[in-house]
Amino acid sequence: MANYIDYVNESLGSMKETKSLYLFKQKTIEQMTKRANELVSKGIKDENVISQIIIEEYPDLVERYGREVGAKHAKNKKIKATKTVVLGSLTYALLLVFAYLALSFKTLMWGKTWILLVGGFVLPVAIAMLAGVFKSKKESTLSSAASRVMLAGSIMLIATVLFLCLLLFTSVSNSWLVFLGAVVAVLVADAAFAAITKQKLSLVTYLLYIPAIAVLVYVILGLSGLLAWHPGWMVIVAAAIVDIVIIMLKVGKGKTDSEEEEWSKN
Amino acid sequence: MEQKLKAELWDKMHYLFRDFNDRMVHLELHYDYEINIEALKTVLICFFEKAPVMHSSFVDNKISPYWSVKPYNIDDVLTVSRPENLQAAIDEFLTQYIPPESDLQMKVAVFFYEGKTALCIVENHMCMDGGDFKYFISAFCKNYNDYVEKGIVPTNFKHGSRSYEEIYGDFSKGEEEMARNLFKNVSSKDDHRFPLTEKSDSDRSFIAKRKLPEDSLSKMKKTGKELNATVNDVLTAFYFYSLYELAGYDLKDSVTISCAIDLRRHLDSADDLGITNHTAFMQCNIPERGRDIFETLRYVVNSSNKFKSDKFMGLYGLPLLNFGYNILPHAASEEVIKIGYNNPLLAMSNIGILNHEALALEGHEPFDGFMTGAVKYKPFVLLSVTTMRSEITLSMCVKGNDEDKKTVERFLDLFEKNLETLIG
Repeated sequence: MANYIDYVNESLGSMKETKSLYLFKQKTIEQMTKRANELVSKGIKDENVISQIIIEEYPDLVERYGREVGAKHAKNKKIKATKTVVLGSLTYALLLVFAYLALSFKTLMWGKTWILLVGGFVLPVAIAMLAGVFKSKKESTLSSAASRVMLAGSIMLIATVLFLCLLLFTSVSNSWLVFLGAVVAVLVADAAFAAITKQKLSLVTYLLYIPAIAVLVYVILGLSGLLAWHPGWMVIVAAAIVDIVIIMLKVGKGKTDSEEEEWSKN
Repeated sequence: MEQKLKAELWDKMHYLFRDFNDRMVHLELHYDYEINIEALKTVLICFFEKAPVMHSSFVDNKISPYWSVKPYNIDDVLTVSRPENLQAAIDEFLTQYIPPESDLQMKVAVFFYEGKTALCIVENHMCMDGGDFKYFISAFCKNYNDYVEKGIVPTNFKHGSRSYEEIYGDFSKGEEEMARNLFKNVSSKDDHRFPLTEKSDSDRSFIAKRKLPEDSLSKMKKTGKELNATVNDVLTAFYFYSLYELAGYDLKDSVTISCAIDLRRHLDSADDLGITNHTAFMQCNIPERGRDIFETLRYVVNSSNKFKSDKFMGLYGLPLLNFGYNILPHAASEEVIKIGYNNPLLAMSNIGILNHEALALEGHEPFDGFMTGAVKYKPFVLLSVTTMRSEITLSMCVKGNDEDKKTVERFLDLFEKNLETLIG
């Protein structure tokens, strides 16, 4: 079974002998030997055939080694980063708790200072979720469904903190409207995400969201006293008209595209 | 750790066909010498390593099915014997059924007799169609010869994507977009049937075979040329004409036969694809039998010219099937697709030429052979056609009883009789 061993040594012969290269060669030869045994168990008796099959399964060992070294560095970097994040988070948590206790003991406003804890823990999570959405869009690591859920989740978390702040520090009576506003923000953000990432059926998204946003805005403004119920309902009619205009523009564009295609074909 | 392979669209479709046929594709070749078994084993193993679907078990996961690659030994694939009754041994081997959950999707048998070899192969249609099976056997013979005669390691076997989407590979961007929007359901809606008996538990699989007279092909070509018809058109016309007579259809009835077409016609080359299925059906319809075989042929030519002129021949329905499999879990998708899909009651597959030169082993060309499609469960039938050394072999594989066997033989008799009428 010498052929594939010679192949490994010849392929990597020009590289500087290091510990990691030695370990890579050992590991590769071990894998190849295991594969050779597997092929023997399947019924191949010809050693040349076994060697050739194995060699074809391991093309370009130099590139393979390079990828393994790169992967190792990336793994070490990730471990280091994870350690930093964990330590940093623990430190941050301790400092936050210390700050909460210090503020509470100084001001004796225990009924309000807890907002520091809530905001201090929830807002970084929301920001991390938003950052995750942007990163995953760049690197395509998450499905678009998961990204959209994270986007919605981060907006709702921010809205929750905002609601609690309004409740504690203001006398706004309808502070719960923040949640309806958050739903509007989720729909707007989702539609923007669909547009930026060129989602399939994004047109259907806009057509559904526009009237929903209009209804929510109408209710928020109505309950806040900023918009009369009548004729404020026209906001909803306007939304329906916007939908119709969008459909007509899309149909018109479709006709123009097929005419242009027909023209260029002829 | 379990190695998984993706279950492609056509894998799932042929799995769905388990209600209609046994999914086996069959090959029989005869050589006038005894082949080298050790070399055959080595070549087979090399091919199995290049196409791991051949030694994988289909896992019918209700959400998302897949292939699970399994270990094997070549002795589980290959049977070698010197049977006393050769034909019985071949029939028994060829009519076997390989379950999709089996660890192996291909079985090979070598029967030695009188210094000769009968090489028989049965494989799961889920893995590859007739087109790629022809490639398989040609590649096998080439690699075998190179290995035995020159010591070249037999690993020259194509491997690549098995996805149905590869069929769009040589289209322009605009053409591909159009092809991917062909959502039309083109499955057959004809209720005309082959006159077989009702299904019964005592039914057994059989392969009825008929070799047409030696000069049939050349005469068909000549006649076809005179009448602006291809050999395929002529064969289809005989199928129609014989069927009307056998089944006693009203001569004014319009009948449809689904004809298999190789979708690789849309590709410049399939050399960098994996072995898979790229076959669809086109519906060849005639408005009535016609006064005579010549008129039947004219109707067939009209019908086939219609779909030959279509740039996207055979591609209709693929996007719909893909959509059907993607929107729901697999178990639900199958039920939905079964509602819309009509398996053709009458079908034909002209598998084409088995090139005796390309199939030579150590200088010995096969002196006989044929390939045929799956054993159909009643009431479905498929007429397969292969040509070797300019001799046409018709075959029909059915799961039926003795009466059904007689019916199929009678059909083949009528076919030969009508052949005489048209080509003399």
